[in-house]
Amino acid sequence: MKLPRLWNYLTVLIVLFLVALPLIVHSPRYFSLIDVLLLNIVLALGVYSFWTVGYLNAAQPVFFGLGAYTVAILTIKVHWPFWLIFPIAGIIPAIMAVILGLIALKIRGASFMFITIAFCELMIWLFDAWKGLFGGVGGLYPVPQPLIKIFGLRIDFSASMIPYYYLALILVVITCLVYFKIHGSLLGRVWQSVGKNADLLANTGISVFSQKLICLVVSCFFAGLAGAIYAPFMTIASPGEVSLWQGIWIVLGVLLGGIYSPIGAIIGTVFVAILNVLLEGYASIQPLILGLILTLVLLFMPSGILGFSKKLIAKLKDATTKKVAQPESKKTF
Amino acid sequence: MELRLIIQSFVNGISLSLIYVLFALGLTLIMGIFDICNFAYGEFVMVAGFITYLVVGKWGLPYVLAPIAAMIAVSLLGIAFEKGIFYPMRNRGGLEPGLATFGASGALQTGALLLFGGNPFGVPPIISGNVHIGSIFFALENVPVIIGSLLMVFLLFLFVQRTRFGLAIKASQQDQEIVALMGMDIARIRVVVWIVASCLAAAAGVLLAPISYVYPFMGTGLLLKGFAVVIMGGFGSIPGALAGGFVLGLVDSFGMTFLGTYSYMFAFGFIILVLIFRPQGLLGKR
Repeated sequence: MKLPRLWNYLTVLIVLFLVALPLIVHSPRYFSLIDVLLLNIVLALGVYSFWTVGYLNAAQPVFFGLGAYTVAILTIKVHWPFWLIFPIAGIIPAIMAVILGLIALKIRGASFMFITIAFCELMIWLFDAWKGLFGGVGGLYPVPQPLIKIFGLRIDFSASMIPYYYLALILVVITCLVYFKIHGSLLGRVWQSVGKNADLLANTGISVFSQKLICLVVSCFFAGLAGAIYAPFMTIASPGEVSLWQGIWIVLGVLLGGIYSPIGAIIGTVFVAILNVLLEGYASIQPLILGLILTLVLLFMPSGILGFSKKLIAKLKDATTKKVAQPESKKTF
Repeated sequence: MELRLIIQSFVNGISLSLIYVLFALGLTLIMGIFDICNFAYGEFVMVAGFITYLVVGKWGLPYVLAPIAAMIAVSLLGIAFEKGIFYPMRNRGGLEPGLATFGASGALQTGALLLFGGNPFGVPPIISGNVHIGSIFFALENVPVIIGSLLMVFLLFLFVQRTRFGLAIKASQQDQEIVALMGMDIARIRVVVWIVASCLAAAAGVLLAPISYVYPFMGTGLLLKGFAVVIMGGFGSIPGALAGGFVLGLVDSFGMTFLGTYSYMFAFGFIILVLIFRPQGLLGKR
């Protein structure tokens, strides 16, 4: 994905702004919201990436939850250090994704989304029912918070939210770099052509199935890492963190922003997070509003906010050039 | 002892299987023709359930009115879905309209929650009481379910096999362009399919209401089961939905008897096995 020049400066500016954000925002409530938003962006990028091969994964929160549970189980029961577990928390969801993919990726299109929904329900049930491993409805707590001690530098994660914020930010930046790099590379082209015309691609000798599987595994790996940050941040891993509607929120964000580009996915997730804060007092009618927005966006803004604003800018440009052109033509007369 | 349990769970499973069959038939009909999932189909049943509650439970009108009212209301809902969501999005693949119905499903659930509250409502059964045959007992409230759903399945078969529209529906599962070239109006066929599918959902809702409870989220569990049946039977296959519905209903019932709460896992495990060994479904062709 090649960005125009303006975008390059803009990304640098945004990253600088995000690095300096702890200086501006002090309220812990907003800070924790921003932390969760960053983790959701990781999930949203996964949904976007899997969309390019023509599927929707509504079970991203399950892989997120698996990552969180991995950290919780290994820190509480085995007492391993967090930094050793962190990569494992990505690998276990990835293995789960391989199993899910091997079983279900033979199915095309919307039906796969149903399978992810069924998988989501099944895993939530498993988290609830397997009390010995997952701790039942109450979940596993307290998840110990990580500590960094290198060369006299001591960062205690339990003291404030700022280290979590930077950890999440680093994860988002790495995820963005990986996805942007992939989507500019040959692999990204292959994925896009899987989504557009899988039969044609299969005829060129590329195994469509394994490409889909790789795509699913990569997105679930990052979802697991996001979960690994979430568990110590909330000091709990419980089935309450994993719900079907959470997955739909993420999908809604990606659609709202514009599913045809990773930037759209990020913008949409930010929008949904703002929407979530606005709707906080009206928990009972949340699905109503969410559902209506989802349906209306799909009907009237198929390319999302990003595509819509691009169209709008193009229209405005047309209008301004016409306005400029008119007086000039008058002058010649 | 064991034989008695087996026969008992078979008897219990039958009415549940027939509800699954009705539900899955509507779902598979829509999936077969439009190649999309209707995630709001569970809410069609929920709407029919609430209409049954209103007609029979609240206003005390005769039971015969419930299916008529439910079928009309749910058909209108189905036509609204077709005209509002599916027809405008007909050229956008399967995923996006499916997601839009997901949104609509959430909106309908919350709408029902606001109107009726979250408490489950009971609807008085048409016939109550039990019949004992030896040591096996049979609840008479299941009789209308069995008769009603068998009647609906029979009517569906008559409609699909014996009428012009039914043949057109079968043909448009294979190739809609050819059907259009033969002089059939595709837009009208689509509406008819929606009405048929809505009537099936309405029947499922009306029959389910007396043997279970009516509440805003009753559609979700049913939808999962319905999709499971469709996956098991093969997408778009009517005999597949019949076979799949019976298999899942009986697996559920036997699982409940012999495995307790683990039956949930058992049913999904069965679907996973089907997906591994016959990804096109038990009776699917693709």
